Amino acid sequence: MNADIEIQGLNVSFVNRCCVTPVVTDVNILFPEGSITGLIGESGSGKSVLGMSILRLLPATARVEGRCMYKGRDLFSLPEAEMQKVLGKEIALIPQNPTESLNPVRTIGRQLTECVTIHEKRRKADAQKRRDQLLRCLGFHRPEQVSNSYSFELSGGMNQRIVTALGLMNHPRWVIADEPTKGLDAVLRRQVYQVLKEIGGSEAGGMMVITHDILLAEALCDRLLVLYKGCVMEQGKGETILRHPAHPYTRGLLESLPENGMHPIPRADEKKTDSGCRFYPRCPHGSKACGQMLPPETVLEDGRIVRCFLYA
Amino acid sequence: MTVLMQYMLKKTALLLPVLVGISIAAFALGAMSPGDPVDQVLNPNGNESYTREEYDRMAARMGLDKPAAVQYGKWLAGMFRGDMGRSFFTNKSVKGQLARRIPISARLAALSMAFTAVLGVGAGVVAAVYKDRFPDHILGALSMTALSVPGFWTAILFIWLFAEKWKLLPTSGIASWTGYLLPALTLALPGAGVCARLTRSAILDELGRQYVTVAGSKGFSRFQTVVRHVSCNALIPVVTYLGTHLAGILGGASVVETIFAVPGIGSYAIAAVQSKDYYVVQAYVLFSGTVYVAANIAVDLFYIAVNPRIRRGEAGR
Amino acid sequence: MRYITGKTKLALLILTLILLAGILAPVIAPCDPLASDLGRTLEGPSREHLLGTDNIGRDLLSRTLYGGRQSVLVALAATSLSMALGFVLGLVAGYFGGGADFVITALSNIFQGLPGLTLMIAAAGILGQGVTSMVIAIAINSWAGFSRIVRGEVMKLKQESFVDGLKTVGACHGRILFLHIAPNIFGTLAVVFATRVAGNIMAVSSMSFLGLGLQPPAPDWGVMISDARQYFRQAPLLILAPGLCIVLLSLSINMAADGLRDWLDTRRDSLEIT
Repeated sequence: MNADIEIQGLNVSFVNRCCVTPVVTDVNILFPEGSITGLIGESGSGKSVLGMSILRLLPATARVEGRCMYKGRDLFSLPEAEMQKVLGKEIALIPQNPTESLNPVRTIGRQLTECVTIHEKRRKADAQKRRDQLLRCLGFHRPEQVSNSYSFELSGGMNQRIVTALGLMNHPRWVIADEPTKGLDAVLRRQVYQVLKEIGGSEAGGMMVITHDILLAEALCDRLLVLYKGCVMEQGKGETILRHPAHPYTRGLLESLPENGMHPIPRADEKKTDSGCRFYPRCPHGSKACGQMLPPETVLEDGRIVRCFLYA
Repeated sequence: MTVLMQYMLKKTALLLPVLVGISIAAFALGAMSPGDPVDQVLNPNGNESYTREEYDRMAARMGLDKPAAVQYGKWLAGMFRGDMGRSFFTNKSVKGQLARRIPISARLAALSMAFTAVLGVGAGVVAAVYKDRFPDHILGALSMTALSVPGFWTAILFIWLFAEKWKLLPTSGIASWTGYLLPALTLALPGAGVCARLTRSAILDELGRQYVTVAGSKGFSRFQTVVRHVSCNALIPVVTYLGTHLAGILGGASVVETIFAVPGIGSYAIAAVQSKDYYVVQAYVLFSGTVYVAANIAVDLFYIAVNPRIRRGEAGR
Repeated sequence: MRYITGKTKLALLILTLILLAGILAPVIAPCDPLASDLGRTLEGPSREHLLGTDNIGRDLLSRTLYGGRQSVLVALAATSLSMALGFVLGLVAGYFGGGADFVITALSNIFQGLPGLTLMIAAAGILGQGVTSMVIAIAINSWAGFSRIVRGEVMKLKQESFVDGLKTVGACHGRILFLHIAPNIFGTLAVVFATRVAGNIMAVSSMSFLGLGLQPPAPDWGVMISDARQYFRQAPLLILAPGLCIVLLSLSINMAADGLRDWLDTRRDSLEIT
């Protein structure tokens, strides 16, 4: 069966006592089965919220609209018990903030194996084998010792690799990796990258990689999504986007990288509002229409989708 | 194992001075008391006369002519041997009285602890599950009220309602086990209020932590997450409270025991304070101080069981 | 987000009303709270005596209005005293650590280990009956809670980088402690103070109830309840009126403290066990 994930008309907002804050606006994406998609953008652009909304793990204050189709079903309207069967087994998460993501009073080993045993109690031995194998791949030479430790006994970098294993434990069809290389040095980054690449290649799993690290995205991902303030500005083949960015924001983002001369995006013009295009206040090409409505998504000749009036 | 031993040794080493301090305080309570014990022994009715010589002889026999430090040593040694002196008034041995009364107070405290834990933890869990909804509001108001009502007033109302108006339970005394119910409940209410609030906030704190979200991403249901991941972490502050509360119940039971005429150590102590019977007060303070220290050790043992940081010697971090 | 909830407003309203009633008692009380009228004992509510009379014919409403004056003052004085003591000792213990910390922590453990109410009663017994001895007895019993919380907060704040920053610019201990660390604790302290006052009001009435605090014929809620124990079958109001006043007062203080805690958004766990 086709295991694409297709998001249609996704809107996420956080609601509290006084106001409704939109964080993700009108997102439409197709994640083809087996592909690796990078979600890039600055902090607060809604990357993680987008990922967590697919898993339905946003806090209770979040309001989610839209559909998320997977294997012919809408994940957003699935009964809770059905969704639990999908989580961890079909779609798994490699969470960010690894140290907080691990329960301080349970051993690492149990937290890893329970990814499998929560779905099938009998596969405990399998789970242990898988655990040791993954831990070795991720650069732990003595998996038994790590399994007997607690998160507070390990360094941040070690915990980062543990949560990577956590996401991969149950051979999921899809992995959502939230900042999987944060806080790792070059050597370990390479190791994690290789494991992810391997999983992406050999086990035919699709992956969404949420990251700040454009170099990682470039090396790992087939496709890229560029987010800014909750809107997908540009999506398409990674190579194309990075070589020939279409959207002014993507251009600005790439130019601000150190290797491209570190030219920062200009500060927001306070007279302009972001009620139309989210990038309008900072955009060098802004026209009047940009301030009034959200530009439609336009498909370019090379297949990418851009949300900008320059191409509409 | 050595880490554990070190931890327990350190904890015990910290508690030992506490126990010594409590014993000094207990002794000082007697020494500072306004009544003159020699006079009280020689002249229990207040109408007998005695000579200066008789007084000095009695003082020497009671060891009261020695310096305070020596008296304290003797007193403490006596406590260890189980010789706690005799009540000035009833002339009954304090030890015998305590031996008779401690089981009664212990039963009361145990029942009351059970009420506190069941009502408190139960209400806290329900309130946390229904956060910001009707049951949470109701239980929040109830637990707040429970901890704002003075025990003696609850006691009087309970006696009036349950015993006199509806004639369900005995007014006072412990002729049967039902006699324990009202005092135990009275004693439990304020603690249950605190415990409910503590449990609720501990669970909510834990549910907000990221490992809970991650458990969800593995396919855990909410209930499974609470049972397997949250309970251990959330229990830590609750058990800490219950431990100190147990010690508090034995001390704070005095008023409730007095009103319900439960012949436990609390009412014994109150009567002793009122009649300035300081051997009894001393023994009581020492006893409840020891219970406090023991409760603290029990809480520490519990920490070891649930908190791997201590097992692995990370307590100092 | 800082906002004051309706619950907190209600609590503050009730609290203000009770305190005003106590302050204005000499003006608004219909009768002398001590004047007895043996011809009219244990009467029910009437026009002259809105809440009825007690066993020696004193006006219950007037006595109830007067009833909180002394116990609230005693509780405030005792709590302030114990807070001052606990604050200084906690600051020293938390900031300097080492030997000072060991001694102060051991002392506060000893005082927390002594049985609360009985200790107060015993201390009051030794010091003799009276307001001063009650204040001292309660202060002895409750300073340790303050010192513990202050010590914990100081130890947490000491780790913060702003303290290291102050050290690098050469600030002395006193300056860091009193100008930079202490103000961060005031919010927490205010919440603990309020809950302690509520607890101590109950402690004062308990002592008065047992005959070890305020003495009859003083118009005090604890004394009134104690006096009325034999008569409450005929006149339940004698128990209910002063009791409800104690409950409403401590409830409103606790609720206001809760509101303050939310408003300050201080961490819950450091406050819950007080």
